[in-house]
Amino acid sequence: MNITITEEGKQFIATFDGRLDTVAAQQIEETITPLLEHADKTIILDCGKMPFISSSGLRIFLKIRKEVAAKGGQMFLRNINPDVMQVFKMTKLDGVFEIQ
Amino acid sequence: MKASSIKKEFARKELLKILVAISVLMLGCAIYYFYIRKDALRSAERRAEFTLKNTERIILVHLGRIETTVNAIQPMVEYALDDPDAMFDIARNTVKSDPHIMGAGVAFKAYYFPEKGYWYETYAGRQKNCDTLISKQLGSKEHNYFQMDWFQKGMASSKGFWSDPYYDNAGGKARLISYCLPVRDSTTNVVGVICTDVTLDTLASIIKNIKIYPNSYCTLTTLDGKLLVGPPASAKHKGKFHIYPKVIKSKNLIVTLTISDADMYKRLRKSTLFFSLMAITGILSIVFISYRSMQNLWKLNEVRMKEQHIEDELAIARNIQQSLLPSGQTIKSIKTLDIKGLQIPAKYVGGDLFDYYVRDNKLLFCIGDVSGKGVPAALLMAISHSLFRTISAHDERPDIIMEALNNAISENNPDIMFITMFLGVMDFTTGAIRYCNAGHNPPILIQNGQAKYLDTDPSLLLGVELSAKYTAHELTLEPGDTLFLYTDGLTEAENARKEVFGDDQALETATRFSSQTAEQQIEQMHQAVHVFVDHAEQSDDLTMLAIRYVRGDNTLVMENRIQELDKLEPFLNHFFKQESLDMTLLPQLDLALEEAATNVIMYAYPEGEKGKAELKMELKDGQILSILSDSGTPFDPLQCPDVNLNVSLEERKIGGLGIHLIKKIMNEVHYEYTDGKNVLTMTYKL
Repeated sequence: MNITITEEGKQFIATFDGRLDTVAAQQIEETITPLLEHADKTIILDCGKMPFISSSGLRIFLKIRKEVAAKGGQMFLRNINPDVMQVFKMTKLDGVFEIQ
Repeated sequence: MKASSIKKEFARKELLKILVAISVLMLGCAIYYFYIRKDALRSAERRAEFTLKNTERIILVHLGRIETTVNAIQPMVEYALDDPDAMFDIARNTVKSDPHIMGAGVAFKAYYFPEKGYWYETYAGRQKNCDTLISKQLGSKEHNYFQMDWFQKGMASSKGFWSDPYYDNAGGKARLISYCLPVRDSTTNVVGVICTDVTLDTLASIIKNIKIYPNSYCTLTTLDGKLLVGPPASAKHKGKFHIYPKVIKSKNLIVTLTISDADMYKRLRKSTLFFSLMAITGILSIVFISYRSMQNLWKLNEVRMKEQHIEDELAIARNIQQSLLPSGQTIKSIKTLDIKGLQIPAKYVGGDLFDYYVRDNKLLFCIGDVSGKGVPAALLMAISHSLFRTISAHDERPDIIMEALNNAISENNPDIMFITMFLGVMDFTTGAIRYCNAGHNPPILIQNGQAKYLDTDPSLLLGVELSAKYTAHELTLEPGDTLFLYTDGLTEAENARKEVFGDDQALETATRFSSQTAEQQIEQMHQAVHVFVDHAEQSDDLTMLAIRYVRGDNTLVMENRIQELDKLEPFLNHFFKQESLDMTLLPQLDLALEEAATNVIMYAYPEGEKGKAELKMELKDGQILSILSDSGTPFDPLQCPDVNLNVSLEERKIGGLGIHLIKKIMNEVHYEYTDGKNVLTMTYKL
């Protein structure tokens, strides 16, 4: 799992590359700190290269979501893989996350 | 121990042996010398004794004759006692009768012949020239013979006796000895004494001439030590002497034989010198011979040490070579693979190689035979082994690996050694093998209880031609199939009658063990060859490798570390492929099982305690059964309250999502605590 964070104007785009499983979630805990620091801005999580997400992965997303809500920013998800979408649906998170 | 110190130690031992030998020899010489010296002494003593006895006899005979002469005079004197003047004649005749008698006299007691006065001693004596005799009456005030020893002793004696020898100073320094006899009258009263002076010069000359050794001499002395015959002027007074005295009591004489030490041992010295020369020569010979033999022994020893050294190194080389062989530990966790290899070198080290290892769900394996035997073959084998590992780490196409191997080996092959090799890459999730055969014996394919030689369409041997092309072929093993690889050490194993084990017998044996494990197969083939070869010496390296593809029991064991979860997806992937399941279902099942496994890994065991999670997959009645078990704290995850997905995000507790997902994906989830284990059975209906 690799995360690339790029700044485009006022948006921060985080590209998730690889499986966001339990092991990966633990590894990227620190990688997302820049995102949390800019939680007052618009954060886009690009899941185009992410074929899999586990509950630990969902927790990472929820953590960012919580920070954004607290600081008054916005968070969007995009390019969701059907399998991952299925997980969102199962957890009703498809209604929680704003998906582009 | 270093060679030099061994050599020193060895030399020290040998030197000690030589010294002991020399010491024994010297001791022998000393004992021998001691004995012959004693013998020389004894023989000298015997000679001395004999000589002295002879001398004594000469003296006794010489003086005895005089005794007889004088004894004969006695009756004449006694007969003529009435004629005092006749005594002169008697005396004169006595002197004349023996040249050794220098003088003779008859002395009478006082006034025996009243007409002759107080003293009467008639005497006849030789003059210096010995031809003329003088005769006179000697008794006088000046020559008061009554006071003299011989007279007093003669008067008291009953028979003849010899006086102490003496020097006659008056009569020309003659060595004399007197023989005296009493004179009796008709009434047997002693009335006078006959006395004859006998010269000892004759005896002296005899004694002087006694010479039993070049420097030995005889002396003659009186009992009280007066010297009558002294040592010769040439006699040396230095050094050691052996003195043998002989007392002739009746004549008041002592004859002494003196032998110098030098004389006594002269012959011994000569022989000692000769003997010493012999001994020195002997010792030198011993030293020389020992030195030469020691040199030879050193050389021999060095050769032996070198041999030992080589043997030790070969033993190490064998260990190294054996350590190159795969242990099989790494593939134990792969349930679809059952592999066993065996290598028995004919010599310490062999030219055969086999290797296998797992990379990216693939088994890479090879078996090869380097031309020749022993160390050169072993070296090339080791090189080939590392080349195989290095090259196959970057490529998994057997033909490409083979080409790279060939180029590497051909490039620098001055001794034109070549290798036959069979190399394969097997996807152990499907059983598909891609292989390439560089002139190696075709492996035996054991399939459905049948064994046959694989038709391999071989390519060129390795090491023969640079840039040679190699072709890969494909083969798929079904569960239960075995690919049995070997080197010609198997098929060409010879017995004592020079018969070979042969292809047919190998195939026949393989057919018999078709349903057995790789280990049993190797063991049985080895046993078959062993029985066939019997006691014949192993002629070639024997190498076998059995690769068996089996239906895995689809169990994954993970330790309680998060990283272990990485094993899950490949495991499920393999299971799906193996059971030909719809791959689109994989992500869901992967998710549910990862959630379940995460729970066990994270929470089942107390912090810091090691534990395991075991996941067993089964396909049964159109259902996928996933059974997850652990030996941790009893805990039923299903008792957790389900997350309420309908409440707002802020109200939701983070956690519980995993269980929710499991329940959502699986058709049935069942928990039980049995045999000290938490067992979570998840069913997915197809």
